[in-house]
Amino acid sequence: MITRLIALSVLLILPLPIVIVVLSSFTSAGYLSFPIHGVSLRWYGEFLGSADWLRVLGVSAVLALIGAFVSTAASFGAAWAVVRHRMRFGATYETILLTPLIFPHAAIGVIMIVTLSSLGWLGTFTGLVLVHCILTIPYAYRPIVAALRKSDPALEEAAASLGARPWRTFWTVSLPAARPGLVTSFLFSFIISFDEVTVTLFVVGPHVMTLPVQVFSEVLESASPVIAAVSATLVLFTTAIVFVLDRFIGLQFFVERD
Amino acid sequence: MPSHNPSSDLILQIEAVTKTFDANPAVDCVDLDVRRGEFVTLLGPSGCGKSTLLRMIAGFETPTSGRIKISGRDISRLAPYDREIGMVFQNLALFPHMNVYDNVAFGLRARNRTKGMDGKVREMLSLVGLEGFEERRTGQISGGQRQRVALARSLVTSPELLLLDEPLSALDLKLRRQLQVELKRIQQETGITFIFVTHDQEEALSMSDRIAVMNAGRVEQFGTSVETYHHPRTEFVARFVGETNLLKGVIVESEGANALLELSGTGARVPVPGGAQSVAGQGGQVTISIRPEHVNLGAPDEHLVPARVRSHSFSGATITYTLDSDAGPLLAQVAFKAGGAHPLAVGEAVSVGWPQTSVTTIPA
Repeated sequence: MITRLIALSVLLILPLPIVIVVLSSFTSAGYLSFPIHGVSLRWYGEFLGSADWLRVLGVSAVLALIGAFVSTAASFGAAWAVVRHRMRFGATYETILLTPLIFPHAAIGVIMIVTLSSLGWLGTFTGLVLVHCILTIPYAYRPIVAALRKSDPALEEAAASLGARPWRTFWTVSLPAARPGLVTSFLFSFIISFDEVTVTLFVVGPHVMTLPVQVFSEVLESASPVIAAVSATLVLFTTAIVFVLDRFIGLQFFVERD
Repeated sequence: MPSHNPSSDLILQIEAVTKTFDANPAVDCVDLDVRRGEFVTLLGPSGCGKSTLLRMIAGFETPTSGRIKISGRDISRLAPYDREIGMVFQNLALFPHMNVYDNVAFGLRARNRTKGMDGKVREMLSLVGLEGFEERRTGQISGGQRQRVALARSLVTSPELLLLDEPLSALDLKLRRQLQVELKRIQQETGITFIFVTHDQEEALSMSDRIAVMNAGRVEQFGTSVETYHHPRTEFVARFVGETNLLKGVIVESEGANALLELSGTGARVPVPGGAQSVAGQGGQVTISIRPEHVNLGAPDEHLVPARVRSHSFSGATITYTLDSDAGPLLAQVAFKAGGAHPLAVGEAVSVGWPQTSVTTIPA
């Protein structure tokens, strides 16, 4: 009974801030408040009519696409080596890949400042791609490794016995067999990258800015309800991706044991 | 005029092939010749090296030493995709992202033989009885149907040699028997040489032209089903292929085609094949194998070896008795006729004998 109550209240309390943000984005007043005064789409117009907001939205989208692609490709290579070639020290290697999950983000931020400045990439788009890849690889790796462990290693042997050379086997058998894992990895990396604030905050510069970081700095300066409208859009977008993932592939990759 | 080449009807020659993993021999100096169109079974317990040998023929493992030849050509170092050998895998390894048609067509596409592909694929599907299943996903069909898809896929490129790695082991008994018959039919219809790996001796006996019984990386015996069953050459083969009674003894007389064996434990003297078939001279230790269905039971003193009934089990047409004798435990399988004599009771004293022709001698 008590545990049910706790579970129920957690379920209600967790999404509450999101509900409040979404509701307050529809205010007609000129300041951020809750409950709202009057209903309008004024702030959505402001968001989508602003060249500055659309530019950072574009940067975030392109960054997330490139980051997700690189992370997914790199994770596939890593998972392939660990699972199919039973790489030496594979378990250690896996742990290292997953460290960004347990490392404090502030520490990663500082480390990335140092690393990127020495490469001359601080405050550049390339620097952001690198940082986002490091942050998304742990999320991209798991679904792919799970998909590869599930698929039969004899698939490649079967293809070879039927006369397929290694490249054909890779494109027509190995890659499609891992497709559910690849799609999950790509979409999750995209979400993580698209919503990332903490580490990004350390490495953005005057020439390159992402949407979530822009929201953060706006919050510090003003309390314009346009922030709520931007946030609500981000929430809608993320929810849509997760919904699609759950509907067509399932999210069990994240709770399954290897 | 081309001279007759005695090796031209050999499709596969395995010459002194050894495979070691971390210094442990998995396959230990195996020689094997397979004739074109034969159904050969590699039979043995798990870990005997039969699958490793098959994987070397397919090209997934490279022999540590020795040579594998297909139609006289050494292929030991050739990549699997250059070998043109078909294979049916233990877990079938059907491509999960393709439908039945694309699975079967894969080999033709991979070898760029797409001309007339459609007809070939449909011909194969009809050979295995799967017309109309072209569009099905591999996850939407039954275990037996998946088996047929795997077979059609491996046969579509018309390989000269088809390797089958325990493909029936995941199926239930009834389906298994049905597919055994079908596999044999397809093998005879296509004339393709089959090399079939199994640990099931019944499966091996019923399907094969010849059986290679493997143990600890070696081939212990290579012969027809009948030879393997009735004339096992080693104790391992006698035990592994069917049930048998193994009795130890010493040759006490050897004259011409006949010899006399004194059974250890009982002192009973029984005639055994001598002369050319003898495996040991006078005073030599031998083991004899007698299949349970050849054992005769009689009243005490009727036969040579006295025994007592320990238990019996009824299986339709026959009753199998487990007997205790001074020569060790014995199995006797006797035909059971309805309305005939009652089965022997547990504890009843009997005597055991066998026709001299049913005795196989094995070096001890």
